Amino acid sequence: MNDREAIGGTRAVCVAGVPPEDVAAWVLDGEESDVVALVRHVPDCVACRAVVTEASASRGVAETLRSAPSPAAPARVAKRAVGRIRAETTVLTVVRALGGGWLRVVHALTDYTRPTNPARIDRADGMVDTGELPELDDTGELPPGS
Amino acid sequence: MFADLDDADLVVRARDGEDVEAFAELVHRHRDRAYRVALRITRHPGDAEDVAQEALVRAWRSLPGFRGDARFSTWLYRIVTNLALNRVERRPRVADVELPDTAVRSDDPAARTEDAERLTAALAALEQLSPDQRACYVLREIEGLSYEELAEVLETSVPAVKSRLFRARQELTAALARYDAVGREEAGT
Repeated sequence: MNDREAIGGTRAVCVAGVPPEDVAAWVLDGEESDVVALVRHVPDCVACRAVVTEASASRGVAETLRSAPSPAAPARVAKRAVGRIRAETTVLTVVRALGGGWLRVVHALTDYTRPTNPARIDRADGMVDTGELPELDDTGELPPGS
Repeated sequence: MFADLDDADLVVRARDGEDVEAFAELVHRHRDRAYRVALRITRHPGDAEDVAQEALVRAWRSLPGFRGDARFSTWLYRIVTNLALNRVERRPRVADVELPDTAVRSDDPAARTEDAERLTAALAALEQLSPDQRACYVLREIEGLSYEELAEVLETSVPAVKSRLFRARQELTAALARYDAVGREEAGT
């Protein structure tokens, strides 16, 4: 059983070897076949004439489907898409404007959080400078050694 | 501001000048088309929204690589179709299939009901096609793409497009014939 029989279509096979899809594409959409000139071949071919008849029936189906209301995209589709595009573009613009500077900004930020950052530990008394302000004592003075 | 410019001019502005507003105009021109194709392939309004939105953003990101050999709409169809097919592959069959509004084609209420029922049957048959066949059929019959454009959008050959379309048409015609036969039987009883 060939494909045409499997789908329940025409059973005859074109002697010139023209595939049925070529005949259907020709009769429905005007597509030429690479195998033969269909305008001359089809009238003399029982198999291809059967394909023409069968394919023509699909015109009504397409017409029915085209009668379905054409759904419009909800406004939020365009709004969100353009919003995302604008946001991405803004970020890119900022990064470009900073040039290589943004790398230094990032490095400075990450360095500061590293425990080995000399700015945090390089005190003469060996204490770690956490960057926090010392608390004042009851008299409003800084405690000794702070 | 951009109303007088065609798609190709807008693409050049958006790509070379990185003009977001020019691309926004393209978005407004093509959003319905993107959504419609996504909806026909995914058959799910929420998925279709996501796909359309993502496709428009990806089109913007990929614009530097778009040489303009194809029309912008064809190129966008390709992005939409790929995303929609990926979405369909990843998810199980959905229950909330989009149902059409009544298609008004006649003043006669009975004929109108008949048209609507036939349309519902046709859409249900479309749902039964494989996603590849459905995409091919929708892009040809609803969106009117040429075979060459279909081959480009679906990343395949023209003979493969012919074959896919042929099978889709056969299956839809057979499904509607079954629906018509049942309708005639019911009318006769």
